[in-house]
Amino acid sequence: MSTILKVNDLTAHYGSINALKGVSLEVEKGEIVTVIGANGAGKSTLLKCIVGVMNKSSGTVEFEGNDITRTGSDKIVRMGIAMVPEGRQIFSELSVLENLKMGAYTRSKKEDLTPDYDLVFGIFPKLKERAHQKGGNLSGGEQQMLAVSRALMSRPKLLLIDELSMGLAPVLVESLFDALMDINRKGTTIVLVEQDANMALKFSNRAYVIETGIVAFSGKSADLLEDDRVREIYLGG
Amino acid sequence: MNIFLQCVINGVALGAVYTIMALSYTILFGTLRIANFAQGDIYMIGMLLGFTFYVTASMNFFVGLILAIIITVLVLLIIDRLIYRPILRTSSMYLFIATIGMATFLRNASQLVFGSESYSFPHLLGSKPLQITEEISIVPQNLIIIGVCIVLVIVLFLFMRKTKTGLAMSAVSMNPFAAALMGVNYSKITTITYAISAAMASIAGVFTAPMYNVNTTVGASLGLKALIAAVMGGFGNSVGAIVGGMILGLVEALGSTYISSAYKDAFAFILLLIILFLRPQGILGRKRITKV
Ligand SMILES: Nc1ncnc2c1ncn2[C@@H]1O[C@H](COP(=O)(O)OP(=O)(O)OP(=O)(O)O)[C@@H](O)[C@H]1O
Ligand SMILES: [Mg+2]
Repeated sequence: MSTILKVNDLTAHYGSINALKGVSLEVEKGEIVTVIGANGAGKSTLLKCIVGVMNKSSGTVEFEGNDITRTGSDKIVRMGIAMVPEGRQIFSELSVLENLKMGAYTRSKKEDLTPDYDLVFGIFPKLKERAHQKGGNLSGGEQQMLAVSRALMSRPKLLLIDELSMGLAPVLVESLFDALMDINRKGTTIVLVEQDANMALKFSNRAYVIETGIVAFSGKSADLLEDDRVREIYLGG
Repeated sequence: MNIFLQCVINGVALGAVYTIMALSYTILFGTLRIANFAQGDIYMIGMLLGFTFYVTASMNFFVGLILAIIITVLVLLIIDRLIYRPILRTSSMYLFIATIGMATFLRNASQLVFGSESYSFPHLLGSKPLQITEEISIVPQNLIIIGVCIVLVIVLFLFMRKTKTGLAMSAVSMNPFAAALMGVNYSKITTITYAISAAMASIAGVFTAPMYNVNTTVGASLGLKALIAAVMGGFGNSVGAIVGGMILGLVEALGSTYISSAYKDAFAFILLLIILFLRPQGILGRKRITKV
């Protein structure tokens, strides 16, 4: 196995607020790694730093052995990282298809996107029915499906997902997680930030627990599920 | 009836100028949330450059037009890089003030380059009005302006709807953060948006030159009125800019005939107040709803 992502002693600030205080993390190719932690722990900040939409104060980020610490997000997306942001962030006035087209922004104009549409519509048939509807008019769950699909359109090697389950019905969360497993089996490495620690630990290989800007502990997800500290704080005893 | 129809024709021609300029404001505001108060002076620079190449240097009209467009675009891109962008990094309120200062600066700097006299720009197809009926006529230049406006509107809409860059501009206007996550380079989109805006203003400047005294103050009131048209239509909305531009042109033409030409310049402001009173977001503007 080879390392696809390596974050080394990363710190980041919002003005004077120190959101990351030295986070290190490694992800192997083909893995599903989950990052859990309380509200405000710095999970979203970590993902934003990796994809390059936020400035890092110190530390490094490496993707497939290349240093991307100071690389712009447009180049990072081109290199093969995509992110499903917290709160979906759909282009509300664009149709579902146009949202997907934007997902494929970094791909060449000549490339045929039909196989990619088929792939995402295969995973989320609901989206196909809504193809010409405005993104803003979709339900919350449908928007989440669109956000995941849109990120897949760039054919990422590494998919970062921030709060997959937020505000969704449990049945839908199950099926989204199943879809993720499917995407992962097709070769995409996944880093998943989740509030629903139980679900995330069940579906992932390894996990990092972040507390106020630092990694408190990490390990195999199966082990963390049994860990007393994790059970107490994140799994409700 | 004839007087009315004549007014409508003149109003549409005037509206065409306002429309092009309102679009040049609105594309900047819609995409980047920047209201460039110097837009009327960008128009003026385009006009004076067109005059310099076509009249002073006796170049072919289209060569002169293209040179005028290119240089005007470069001027606005340099302003963006050297002044607007660094200021925007501190606060958008400062940028707002900087664009007002830029308008004055451009007017004065242009005087150094082009002098302070007024020049006249020949009508491209002669100034003899074409008679539509015995009592209704249109100056050929106005016909050209209306044609240019229609072509620009079509090209702009095709660009925005059918090209990848146009789609990315819409995406940036809706959600710059998400657009960045798609790999859109904000700086590149900013440059393209300024270029389109300056190109439209300079095209308007060159084609309307025969209808005005060509001098460095010509953009001030026109720029302000086109901004009013854009705000009336719903600032940032392209269809709104067209509607606002046309309404303003028609109201000015009809109002100065039927009410008084002494108040010609006041109509724009009165109209703006009435429309914003009835619909604060403008005719086609959307209320900003923040979804959580
Ligand atoms: N735009 C911002 N401006 C200032 N402070 C911010 C901003 N975004 C986040 N923070 C702060 O940075 C810290 C980390 O925030 P972050 O969003 O990364 O947390 P999180 O782990 O994703 O939380 P949640 O589970 O609630 O999404 C918090 O203290 C938060 O208040
Ligand atoms: Mg978060």
